[in-house]
Amino acid sequence: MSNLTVRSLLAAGIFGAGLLAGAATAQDFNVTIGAVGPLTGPAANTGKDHRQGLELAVKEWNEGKGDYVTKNPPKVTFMMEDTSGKPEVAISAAQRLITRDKINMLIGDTLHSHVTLALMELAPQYNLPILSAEPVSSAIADKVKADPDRYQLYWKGNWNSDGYGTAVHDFYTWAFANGTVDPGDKKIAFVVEDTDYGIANAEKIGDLFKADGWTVAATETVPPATTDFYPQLSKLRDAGPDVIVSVFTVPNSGVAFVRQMKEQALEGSHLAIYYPTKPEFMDQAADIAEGMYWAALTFSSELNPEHKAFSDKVEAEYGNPGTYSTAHAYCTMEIALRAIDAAGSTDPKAIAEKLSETDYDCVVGRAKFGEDHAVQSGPDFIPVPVAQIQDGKNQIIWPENVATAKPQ
Amino acid sequence: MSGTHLIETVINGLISGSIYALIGSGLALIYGTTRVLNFAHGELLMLAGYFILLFAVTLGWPLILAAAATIVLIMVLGALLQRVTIAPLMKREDWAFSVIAATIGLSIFLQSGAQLIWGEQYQGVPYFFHGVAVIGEVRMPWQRIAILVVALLVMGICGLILYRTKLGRIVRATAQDAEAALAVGIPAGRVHTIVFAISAGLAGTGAILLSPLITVNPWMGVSYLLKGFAVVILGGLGSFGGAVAAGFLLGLIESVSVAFVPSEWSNVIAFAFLIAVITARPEGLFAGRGA
Repeated sequence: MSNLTVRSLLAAGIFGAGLLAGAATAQDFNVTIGAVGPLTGPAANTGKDHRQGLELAVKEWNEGKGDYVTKNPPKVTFMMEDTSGKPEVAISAAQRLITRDKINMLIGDTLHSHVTLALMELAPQYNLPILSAEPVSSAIADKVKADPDRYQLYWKGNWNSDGYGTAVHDFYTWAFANGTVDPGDKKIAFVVEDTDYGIANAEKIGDLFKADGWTVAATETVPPATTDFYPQLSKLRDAGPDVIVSVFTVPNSGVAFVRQMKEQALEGSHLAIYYPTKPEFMDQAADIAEGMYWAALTFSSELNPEHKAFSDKVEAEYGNPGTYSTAHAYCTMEIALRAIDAAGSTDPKAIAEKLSETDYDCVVGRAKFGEDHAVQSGPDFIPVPVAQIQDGKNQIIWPENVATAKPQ
Repeated sequence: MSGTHLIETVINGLISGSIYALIGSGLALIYGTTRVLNFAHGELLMLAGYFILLFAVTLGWPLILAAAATIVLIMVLGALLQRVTIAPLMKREDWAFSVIAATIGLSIFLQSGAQLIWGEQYQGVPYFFHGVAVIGEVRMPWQRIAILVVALLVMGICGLILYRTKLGRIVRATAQDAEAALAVGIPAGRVHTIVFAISAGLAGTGAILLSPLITVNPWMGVSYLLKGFAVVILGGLGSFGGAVAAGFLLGLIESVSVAFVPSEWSNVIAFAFLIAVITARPEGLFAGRGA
């Protein structure tokens, strides 16, 4: 055997050993992520979408199709528990994941603000990074701002109620200015679900309108999944608001509200928040909701080719098209995975630090956290466009630079 | 408050109340006759919602036929559930708590089963009665008016059966003393099954009337069950007529409270009234008029 051959074999051996060592390092870095969300109860259809989005992101990650930060991304194990939309059930479910399954990070709640307000307490208690998905209520970020040390491991994967407040206020300011909507006697009314999400949105929007000289004619809060709005609508018809804002997370509340508004022939401009993102709403109410404004059309497979591609990918995997909730959950998991990958370990503080540095373009927009640990909204981040249902289809009408149609 | 608002407030209260009365009278009938608190009653309403969806929408049957098939099917199912789950437990000495546990379990089982079979989606049922009745400034869809009319009709028929027929006398005799009824040849077990079937029929009627308004989903019966129990307590445990009256009273209290204070106080006011009644008159407002 020549010296060259010996050297070659030696070099190959060392290289191979290096590869094996590298592989061992990669395999050693496994991570277990748990999620909690509503898989039963009135919001179960949204919880199902969340599960699909979260699972899809993990599947792609483990199959080598993820958007990695390092060359040795961790292998991910994922599991999800049901909350039924109740804080006490969510806490038990999360504690099971923490103590039984030894999760390294929790994604939760995937939908409800009032559940997240309870869950975020587990971050300091168990020294666990927690990232919520869709919850919006500013009350969550207010808690973080009030005690940043306590909530250094908690992060909010969606914008604050201010995002909706600013968008709704700025849209109407624009619509009044160009004559699309008549401000009338400057009276606004709210019919919202009795959750932190519904109440926070009404408060933020109300404050902005009041600053412009408007009066809040009524704020009616109803239990989630309410479907009989006749007592509230009779009252509103008496109060005669010029703008009515409704906020529900359950689509059948939205369908019932819009239908009953039409039956009661309520005058005034109506803007809906959240529920028109649900496919069931458009299936059942597109005709009766003709002309209605709503926020926020962040995901539309009809108007955005990237969203269409994502929806198709979900359909190929699960047999149903992707929704805003699927896309948001997918992005939330991507943000979590990239932070863990960048941290290079499951150390909670290291993960939190990398979450704080997140600046990532995902399918629903650019995710970047603010000082209150909440993802920022606006034209440079995750957009909050206002849509109108025209001829049974959604069209973006505001902001003008991304509008797909003029308001009717 | 305008005159229009006042009239609509009363009508809305009566319509909500008629649904509470339908659900509550079913629960009262069962409790009055068998002393069973049926926590799965809301799920019978939910199943009837899926049946009317199947017959009227998926299969496209005429409304009358679809409604009749739904009521017959849900009555059979109600009787079957009683025979399979409740009747065997009632043969034990300590049946009271085991029956409560069984009906709670049944409720969860039926909700989860419905979610597995039909999914989490909210499924719409078109209005059976189209258009809006307009009198002056008062506007009311015919579908909602139909709820009040049909509910009154169905509860009236039930009342007639209960108080004016031989079957009614048998049911009331069993309610007063099942063992004594058995001693004089009344098959108490069979009467219990019949009562469960009638109660399921009342829930089914509620589901047919409500489905176009609330959309069909696995959890549609939950909130109505809570109101149903409130009605049973308010009306006097086990009193059919009391439950009917209490249902309308609860609907009116809710509707009137929304007219004067923000909606978030509506349930607080309704249940504060309930607590006040329990404190002042523990036997309920209309006690002594047992099933």
